[in-house]
Parts: sequence; structure tokens; C-alpha cells
Amino acid sequence: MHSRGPELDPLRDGVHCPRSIDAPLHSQGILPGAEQESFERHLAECSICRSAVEEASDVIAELRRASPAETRRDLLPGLLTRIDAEAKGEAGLRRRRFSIAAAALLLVGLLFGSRWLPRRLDDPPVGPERAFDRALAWLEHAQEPAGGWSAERWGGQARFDVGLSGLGVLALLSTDRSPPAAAWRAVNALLAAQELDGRFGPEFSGTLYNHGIATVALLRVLDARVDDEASRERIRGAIDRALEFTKVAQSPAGGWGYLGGEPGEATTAATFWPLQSLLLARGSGWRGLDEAIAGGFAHLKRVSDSQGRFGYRRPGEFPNGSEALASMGAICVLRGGSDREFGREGKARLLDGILRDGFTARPDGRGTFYGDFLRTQALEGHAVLGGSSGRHSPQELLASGQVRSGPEAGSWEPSDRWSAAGGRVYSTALAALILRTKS
Amino acid sequence: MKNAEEPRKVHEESPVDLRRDEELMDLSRAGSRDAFGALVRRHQQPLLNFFLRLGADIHGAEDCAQESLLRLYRYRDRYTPSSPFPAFLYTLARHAWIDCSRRRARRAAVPLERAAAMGSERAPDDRLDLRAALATLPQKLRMVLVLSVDQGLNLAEIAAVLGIPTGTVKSRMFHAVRRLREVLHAQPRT
Repeated sequence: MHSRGPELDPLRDGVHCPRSIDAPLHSQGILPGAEQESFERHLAECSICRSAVEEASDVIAELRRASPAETRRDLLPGLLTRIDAEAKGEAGLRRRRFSIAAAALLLVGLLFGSRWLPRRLDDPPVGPERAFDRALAWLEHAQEPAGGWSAERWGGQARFDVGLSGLGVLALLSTDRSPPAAAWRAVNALLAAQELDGRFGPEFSGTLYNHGIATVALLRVLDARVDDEASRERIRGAIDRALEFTKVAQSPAGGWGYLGGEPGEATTAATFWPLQSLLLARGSGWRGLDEAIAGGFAHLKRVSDSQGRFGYRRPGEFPNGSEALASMGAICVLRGGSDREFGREGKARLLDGILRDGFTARPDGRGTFYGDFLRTQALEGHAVLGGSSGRHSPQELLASGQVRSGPEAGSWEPSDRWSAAGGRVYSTALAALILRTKS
Repeated sequence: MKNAEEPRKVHEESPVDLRRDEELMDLSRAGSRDAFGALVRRHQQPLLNFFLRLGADIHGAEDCAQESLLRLYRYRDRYTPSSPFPAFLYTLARHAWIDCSRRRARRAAVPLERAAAMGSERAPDDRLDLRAALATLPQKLRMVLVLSVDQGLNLAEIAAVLGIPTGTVKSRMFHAVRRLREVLHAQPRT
């Protein structure tokens, strides 16, 4: 490696031998037979080429000595899973092609402008597993260098960057494989977005969306494989501060509202994420949260009606439909509400309502990624209780609506009611989470 | 039960792991998952090394290797047994690498506080030196070097994988070795 032969460039240098270009291949013995023999004869009379062979041999020997680290992971099981999922997706596609139901669905979509239909129909859709992988690939592709996601760059509003980054983290963590490096970059971005008072993201009316989603995302990170204690401590510290802010931001009568709104004007929509974060934190061992959690449930109790529905600010108030609010209430009640307050029959009624509403592609065109995300989350809780999740499963339909080609391949068109705020990162992160939810 | 001393009858009862790549591809095409599994187990480590050498981290290398092998399965019907299997496999691997690189091209490398703790294996210093030196090479030079030195492809196979004339392979190999040597000599050695 340390021989000092002439610096050769057979194409440029003044003193050279054009045949020295064969030296690296000769030193590995991979010149074709006749050329190898010819070059060996040439070496006997060319010192420039002998030096070139010597130098090449040194470099190649060094390369071979320092072989890459051995990995012990067997790729075969994961690979066969993906192959099976693709095969299942293709079989499902073939069945659907001949199904009247699929034709009717397509017609409904075309008539009512369903936002989930694919932009191009020339490439076949893929199964949910593959669609999920593609969604993660798009999210990684769209990630900013600092680790977060820019809502504005993808059709949303910049003030929701932190919440979207939280959704991105949740989506990346939902893989069965080791979370990609992108997930940890995103976690760093979330940690950097925390203010001194514990708040995540900018202060504006919708702060609690950003703050609640970011807090939930960090709590999920602790559930994932975080081995080193220093990182765990850093995340736990951030969660401590975030929970304090959440408690302080609670309305006097329980629940949470839009910052800057009327005191006591809690809404079910703004209550959902803060209450989720408190429930998750309590489940992970945080103490001192019971009072704030009780306040959250007091709001839900106050806005619920005899049919088990949850109003926006009061019973029967549904400014954007009752479906998403029903799912929000159900998720919270099923994960943390007491039987004494809501009753076992009351809990079952919540799920009946969600199942009755169904999923996307409804003729009224009101389906949203957010609504279906909430619905799948609620039904996942239903499965845990041992009931049936019903015949509705949005995953296959969702996979068929993924953008299949072009620069946005792997994402979903951000065209539902909330896309003006969240853009393509919103639609894609939520679609990925829906695909991973076992309903 | 067979006598332990009895020689294995390779030709009569050859387990799939003893068959040549080309035969395994034939069997895979006919629907044998065992044959495809044997191909995967045989080539997964070289593929991981290939992507690590090209500059991927361990997670990226695993993703690219899995993607390459998935493409091998998808495109198994396109393989013609008369053509060398390594050229076919590494053509797929090169395309997988290009796709992965494109996906990552829009973002700069960001130091990861978590990366080391999430399973990256700490490499000895000499490995780091060489990895850093390789990273300084333009992609097309690095690719030729890795395909020949690490993966053991011959001149014709490298030309087939890259879709370039053999003369261009020679030229790239010469420049790759020369530049790597310069970089290694310029690095402080411990």
C-alpha cells in the first residue's frame, strides 16, 4: 500500500503506458483469458505497468481486508411475507375486476368525486402491505433535512408542521420492521419544536392539535425500541413538560378548546388528542394525571346524548357530521372511560354507531382520511373487546386509491375537507396508519 | 436411518442449497419456494455488503437488499438461464440502489442521535477509514470497484450490469483504484 510508483493516468499523463488501464483487472485475475496472457507478456517489459499492478494490488488487498460488517438478520421471512401480501393483493384485484360491487364502487366514486380513487388507472393497484411500504417511502422522500415535514411544501399550512411531523413519526413507527432512520430524525425534529413552557409548535388557536399529536407520538416512541437511557431520559423529559402544558391548557370545566377562545369552550375535537396523550401517559406509568383525565371525560359525558353520540360542544351539535366525533369519543371511552360513568352497554352502543356509519366512498362524499383513521382506531379497540369489527374494511379500498406513478407515487391526493390544513403529508401519513390498523 | 459415513448422493438427491444459481432460478420459476429461499440465503449477505460498500447504512442496506430480492422474485420469468446469474441479480440490485438513492437525494444527511443506539454496528477504525475513502469516489467509479472486488463479477458481467462497453469498465476501474489510493494515502493513519 505504501509503494511510491509514478502517478499514472493512461488517458492524460505525459509519461504513461496506455496498457496500464488493464492493471486493476489483471491484479484481480478477471481479464479475459487472451488479454490476461497478452498483458502478462507486456508486463515483462514495461515498468510503468508493473508499478500500476503493484499499486492496484495494494488497494484491492486493502479493500478485501476491510470487508463490511456481517449482519445476522435473515431477510427471507420478511421477503416471503411481502411476496404473499403482493400475491394476495393481485388475487384480490382479479376478483374485484369481475365483481359488480367494485364496478358500483368505481361508479359511485366517479359520480361523487371520491378523493381516494387513483389518479391513474393504467398501473394495477397493490395490496395494503405494499401500499403501506410505498407510503413510508414517500414520507421518507418528503421529509425535510431537519427531520420534520413541511405542510406548506405539500399543500398544507405551515402552522401545522409539528402535528404533521407527529403523524409522520407515528406512521414510520407503525412498521413491523425496525423503524427507519427517518423516524429518529423526525423524533429529533419534534424534540426541537418544543417551547420552554412544554408546548409543541406555535401558539395559535389550533395549538392543541400540534401539541397533542406530538405528545402522543413521543409516547409511542418510548414503546418502540429506544435502547439507550440518555435518549429515553430526553424523551421522557420532553413528555413531562408537554403533559404539564396539557394540564395547564385544560378548560376549567374539563376538556380542551381552541386557544384564545372563550374560557370553558371545550370541544370534543380539541379534547381528543390531549386526552389521548394523558391516557397513554398514565398507561406508561406517569402519575398525577387523574384529575385532568377526569376533566376530559367530564366533557365527553356532558356532550354525549342518549344514542351514545358525542356532540361538538354540547349534545346534538354536529357542525361537520357526527361520525368523527363518535370515533373520538369511542376511542377515549373504550381506552380509559370507567364502566361506572359510561356503562358496558353504553360502550357497546358507541361501536354500533361507528359500524353503522361505515367507511369511505359513501355517496355523500364526506369521507375523510382523518375520519377513517379515527374509525379504524376505534374499531381496533372493539376487536380488543372481543366483538366483531363488521364487514367494513377500508384498507383494500385505500390501497387502490394510492398514487401509483409520477413524483408523488406512494402518496394519496390531499383532497378531503381537512387537506387544506394538512396537505399531502396529512393524507399519506393517515392513510399509512389506517393501513396498519388491524380492524 | 442413513449411515453417517455414507457419501452424499448429490446428483440423485441434491438439496436445493447445492444447486447452481441458474438451476435454482429454474425451480423458482416453476414455483419452488425452497429454491427461491436458497437463492435468498445464498445472496442476501453479498447484497447487504454491496449496498454497505456503496454507502448505505445498515437499515438502508437491508431495505435495498430486500427490494433487490423481491425484484428477483417478480422478474424470475424474465431470466434466461443462458445468461450469467450474477449479471441479472446485480442489474436488479443496481436499479434498486438507484431508486433508493433518488428517494434519499432530496435530503441531506443529518446526524442521528439515535442511529448508533438503534442497531448500527460499530465498525473497527480501518473499516471506517475505507468506508470514508470509498464515499469520496463518484458513484460510477465506486460501483465498478464494488462489483469487481467485493462481488467478484468478471469484466463482461460488470459491463452487462452497468450497460457499458468493457473498455469503459476498464477505464472506470483504473480511475477508481487510483483515486482510492490517493484518498487512502491522504488519510491520517493510526
